[in-house]
Amino acid sequence: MISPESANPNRQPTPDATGGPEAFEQLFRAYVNPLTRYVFSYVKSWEVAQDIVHDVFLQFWLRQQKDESVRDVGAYLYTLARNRALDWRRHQAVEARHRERYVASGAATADAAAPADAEQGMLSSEATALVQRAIDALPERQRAVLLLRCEREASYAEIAATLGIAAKTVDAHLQRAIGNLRKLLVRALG
Amino acid sequence: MNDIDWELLVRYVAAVATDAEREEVERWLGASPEHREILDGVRAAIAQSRRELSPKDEAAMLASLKREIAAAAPDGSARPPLKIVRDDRARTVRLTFPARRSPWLARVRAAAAAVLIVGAGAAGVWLLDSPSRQEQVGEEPTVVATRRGQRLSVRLADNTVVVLAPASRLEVAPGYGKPERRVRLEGEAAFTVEHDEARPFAVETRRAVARDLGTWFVVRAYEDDSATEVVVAEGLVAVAPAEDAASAAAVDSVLVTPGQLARVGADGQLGVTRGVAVERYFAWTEDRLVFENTPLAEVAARIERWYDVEVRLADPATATWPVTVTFEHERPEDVLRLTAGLLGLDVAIANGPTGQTYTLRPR
Repeated sequence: MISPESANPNRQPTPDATGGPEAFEQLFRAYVNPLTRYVFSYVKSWEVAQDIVHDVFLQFWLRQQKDESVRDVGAYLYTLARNRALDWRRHQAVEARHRERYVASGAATADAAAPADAEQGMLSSEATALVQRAIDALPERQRAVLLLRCEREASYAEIAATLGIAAKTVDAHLQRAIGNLRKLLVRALG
Repeated sequence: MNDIDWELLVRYVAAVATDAEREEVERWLGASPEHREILDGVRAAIAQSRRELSPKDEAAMLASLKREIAAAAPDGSARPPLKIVRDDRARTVRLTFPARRSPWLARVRAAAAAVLIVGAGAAGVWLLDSPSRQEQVGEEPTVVATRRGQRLSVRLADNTVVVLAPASRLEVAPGYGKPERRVRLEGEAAFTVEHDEARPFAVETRRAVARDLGTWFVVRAYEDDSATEVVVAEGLVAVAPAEDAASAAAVDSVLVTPGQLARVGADGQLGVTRGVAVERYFAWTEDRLVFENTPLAEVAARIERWYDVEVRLADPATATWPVTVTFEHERPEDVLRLTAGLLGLDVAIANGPTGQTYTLRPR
């Protein structure tokens, strides 16, 4: 079974990690969007992200057939996804270096100052990926309130109206969302 | 990132921070550009949180996974399930495979495949994975060509990616990018162009000129084609007859949007078809051969180019028989046997000095 913090406990039924094709489909539906958003944080292309996530699911299935079923499926999927995303970035950097070298070949020597490599923007991507994964792990109501507030600084009244909930509960949801986000992020980095 | 006060940051982004808290965050932001990067990262996460796959893309991914999982079955039964529907009136037989991944992803695969970098101006050409092989070409146009049975991905100096179909030839004009980006094509290629107002991109074929106004399109202009065709998957392309072929009555150029196909005939006549199944025209970039009511003669020609084999039709009357079938990762023998079988023809295989020759004849 999947440990609660890496699943989306309040949004999807917890998939059974040891099952067959039906379980796989459940797993797929639960994770396809969060994983794609996560990979998107690193690769910045929705199409590339989908391609990578497809391969992650495939890799997961093939591994699962061979080894014992993985205990913490969510964490495993996210780890696979991050590794592939970083591989892709490194590959892009290699190509960029070759291109730069070509363009500069008329001027400096081939080993002149290395151009922007995979490290550029990495900090921002890591932060995005971390926060993305944490947001996806929030209970649905808390996530919805948090997003509405952050996206447009909507007033509590507007949020209440949009979600059809009582105005006085909005603050509570928001505070819980922020608190949970902190816990998830601290745990992820710890 | 371990000593960040995440609660403070999120409260700041959610605009529920007190004045004191806001000042503290702003001080922290000013302390290092890295802190700024982290905040940008947090905002980016919020901004992308609602993004989801379209139902179509999600279904296509799941179907593709199921198919690949079935193909990896240990008992070795690797063929995907087929459904055969016979339609005797039209002499077509439809083979359906389970739904595939969105063709948008083909662009990524094409770009990620082994890439040739073609230079602008004083051109240099080398293979990405063996940088020691460098050939200086000088001020002549740089030419990249594929043989039959070969496909190639080329990345131009401006990041435009061109996937060349078999038996195709791309010429990159000298001074590419200064400021115009012009290429000349014979055959077929898929273009993913980086749009740049200041450096307009254009593909010239024997009959037409396609100017990029946006992203991703296929141009088809083989010698033996009667027309040049341009199909757009994403973005906007302007198509006009080549200068010397323009007829007085023709319009200057036509704007082609996604899902449309423009045709320029030998006389410079320009026509646009709407509501085209774009996937069919891009399938070859994803290793698929797609035929839909395609005359057997054209099917034969495409198979010849794709596999670098010879295909003959013993009875000329069969040349117009329509074929509807999709192939993926099949060997030429299987493709031809299957096609022949579906049409009620026999196929004979002969090994000649130039390779394999397949002859399709009525029973």
